[in-house]
Amino acid sequence: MALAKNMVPMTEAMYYILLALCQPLHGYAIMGAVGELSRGRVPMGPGTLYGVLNRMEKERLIELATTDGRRKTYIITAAGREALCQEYLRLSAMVADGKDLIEEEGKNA
Amino acid sequence: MRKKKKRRLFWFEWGAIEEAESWLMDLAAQGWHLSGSGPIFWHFSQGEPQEIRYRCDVFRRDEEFQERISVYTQAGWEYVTSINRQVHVFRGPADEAPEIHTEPVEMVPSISLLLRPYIWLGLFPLTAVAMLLISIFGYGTIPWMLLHFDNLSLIFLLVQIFYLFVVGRGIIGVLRKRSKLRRGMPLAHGKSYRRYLATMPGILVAILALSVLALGFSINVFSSEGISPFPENEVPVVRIFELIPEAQYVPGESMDTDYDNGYRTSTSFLVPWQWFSYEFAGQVTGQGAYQTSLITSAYRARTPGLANRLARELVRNSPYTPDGYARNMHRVESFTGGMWLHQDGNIHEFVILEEDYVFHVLYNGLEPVEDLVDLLNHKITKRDLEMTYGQCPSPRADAGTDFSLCSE
Repeated sequence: MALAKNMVPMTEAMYYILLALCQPLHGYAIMGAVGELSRGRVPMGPGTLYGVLNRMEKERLIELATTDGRRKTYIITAAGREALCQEYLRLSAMVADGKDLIEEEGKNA
Repeated sequence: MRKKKKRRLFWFEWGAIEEAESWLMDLAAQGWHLSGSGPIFWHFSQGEPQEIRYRCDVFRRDEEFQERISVYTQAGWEYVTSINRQVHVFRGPADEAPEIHTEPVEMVPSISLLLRPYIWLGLFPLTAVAMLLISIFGYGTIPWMLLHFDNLSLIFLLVQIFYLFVVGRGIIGVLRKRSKLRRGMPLAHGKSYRRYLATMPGILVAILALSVLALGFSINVFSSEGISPFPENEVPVVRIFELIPEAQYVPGESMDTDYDNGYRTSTSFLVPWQWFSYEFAGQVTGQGAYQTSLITSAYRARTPGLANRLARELVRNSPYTPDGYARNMHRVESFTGGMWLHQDGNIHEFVILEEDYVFHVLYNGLEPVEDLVDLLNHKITKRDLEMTYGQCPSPRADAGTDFSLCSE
């Protein structure tokens, strides 16, 4: 599946929200899930959350699951998984490329 | 004890969210907390001075709004008020919750929402200024700038320019914020707003001052609305009774179309003195009754150059001539200043240029046109003695029904 240019590389916020939406979640729960997934490293403001959700819904990377009461619940789509996969592979490659040099410097330091 | 309240004028445009945020934070530090907003005022109520973060977020008020607000509240951001249905003001404690926007790039689409109202707001003054420019540079028979650009037009123009300035500044501000966000830099929190607040009233004062200057500039200029009876003092246009003493004036038939035997003055910056007269008179000749008409416009421009321009425009296009009527204005070389004449039987139309004066005359009568030109020349040469400027000539009190001036 061809991906739009702006999806890879992803912003940190987009990557973690996609990760969190591997299970259906509503707005506030996504913020909590991102906090857990990143072990508190990635702060997630509500403005950024909604910005990313609206954009990803338009790009069909996520979709509405069920409407739990009055709250909207989102879930990742197949296209979203594909994009997440590609981003994961890209990030892994980046880590691998840097690994030798940076660990070498780490030992010397 | 009741809480004290106050309101403040709404100087901030919706695009200036950084400045508005730091202004609200400063007021909170002084104990004034935002309680609401209207189209003209922010409302504040007094409380404990507090270090509080105010943040403006931009999003559409759609069916998701309530849920979104509750997520913000859970995240530590209390919703206060909305401006223009797009900009929403939140407040949070100084250092606990994460910012509303934690990823600058992801804020780009919401900042772009701010552009649209500016563009709508800008359309009106843009159209107005465009129309004004079109009319200034020669739309219609005589360039509007020459004869009609007066202080009211200037004030109108200044107000439009002020609008355009505000809109332009707003759009540039939004574009700057957007490119900053695109480069991954967050919006400035705690940006100084003093300069911003100082410029807005400053511009208003400047506009006011310019308007007053414009009024002062044109204060010695007169203008009268509509057609009025001829004033009692001598006027710079030739009257029929000066040409044909025995002629009988024809009373206007109905008041609403009474262009007969009337007089009017007007003004503009470039041609401050403009006189118009319309006269119709009956005359008994050897062949029977004959109706003479004399329509005159007299202009005095600020400079001879402007008068020259006006004369040439009048030669090219006459406001009196119906469409399709072929005029053949040719220059009369013997005349010292400048004179262009068109003749068709008893109808004479001519334009005379003499220094800063221009006369445009449409004459239909039996008397030789040379007599009329002589009379005009006489008016021009004694202009400095006779013509008073600076006030509208007072109309004769009884002139409304009195058409017997010819017997003088």
